[in-house]
Amino acid sequence: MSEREDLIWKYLDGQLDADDRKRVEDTLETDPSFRELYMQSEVLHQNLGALETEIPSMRFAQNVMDSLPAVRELATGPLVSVKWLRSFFGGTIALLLAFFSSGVAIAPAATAQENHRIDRMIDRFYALFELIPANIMIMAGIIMISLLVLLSLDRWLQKRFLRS
Amino acid sequence: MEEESRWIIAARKGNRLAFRRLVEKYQNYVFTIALRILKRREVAEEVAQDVFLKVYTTLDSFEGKSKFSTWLYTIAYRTAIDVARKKQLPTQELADERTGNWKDDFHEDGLQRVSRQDLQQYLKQAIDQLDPLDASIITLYYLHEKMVKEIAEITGLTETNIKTKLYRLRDRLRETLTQQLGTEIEDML
Repeated sequence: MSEREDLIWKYLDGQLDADDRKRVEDTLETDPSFRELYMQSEVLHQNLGALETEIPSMRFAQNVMDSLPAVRELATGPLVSVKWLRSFFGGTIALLLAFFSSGVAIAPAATAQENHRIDRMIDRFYALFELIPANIMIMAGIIMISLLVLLSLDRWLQKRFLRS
Repeated sequence: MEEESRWIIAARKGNRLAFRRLVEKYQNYVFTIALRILKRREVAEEVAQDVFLKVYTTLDSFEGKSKFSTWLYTIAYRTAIDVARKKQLPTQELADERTGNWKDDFHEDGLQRVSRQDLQQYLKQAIDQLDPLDASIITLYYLHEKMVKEIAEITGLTETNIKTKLYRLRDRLRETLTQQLGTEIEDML
């Protein structure tokens, strides 16, 4: 590519400073071969800019929309977002801590012989659980295990789908 | 642009109508990029459809740092280039498919006046004969508001490289057209 052609494209692309633009315009006035090259380049430049976009088939947008349902619901992410998971497990831990602390506070006082502090706290915690009916404990356990199974299944299905 | 942002936000939430608006707005652009690279309409349409599916499933990853069109054209460009590399499509096919052997037709009737519409048709055929990467650079430049920086982002090439390629490619196109059309091209001014 010659310097003349380079200069013409830069001129047409608006990349020249004022001095170089003046140089191109002066050369256009005085040099017929440069003017001819410029005119050809300008026609090409204008027509490339005016090229119409290609049009796909009439059903294109509909075909795209028809293919979406199988994708979006499964592929956009887990059913339960990470934010909700964090809130859920954070809340559960906070509840357990609160439960344990209140248990320590309300459980029967330790005897004089129970002088080991940790043993005393564990005993108080067990004493607190004895206050809760067994069927409630079992139901809470089942709910927690079911939740964990469902969340794991959700994650596994999402990873499997994205891989495919 | 504000309307487009609303469509994107709504589509992210699963609003299918909003996503359809985005498809309708950009389908011609995405199809044009795919067609210039792949040269065959049926393959380009399949790829363009695949591009919109990718957009739909990864819409959450669009951070809005660049324009939505730049992000979309990046997916379109990469998907089409990948398919072109895998299939190693012949570049001549679409040029012949459009109007037969147009060069011979033109020479048979040397007095024929070239209309602007004809010139655009010849131009498209000349672009179809470029290799996929060159065709995509020319297409993106004139499709994408002549923003070299964004084309560099889409293609992964440097801005200097894009500019050099553009000068060289347009010279090649100009030479091809002037060889075929002679002084007719100057009458177009």
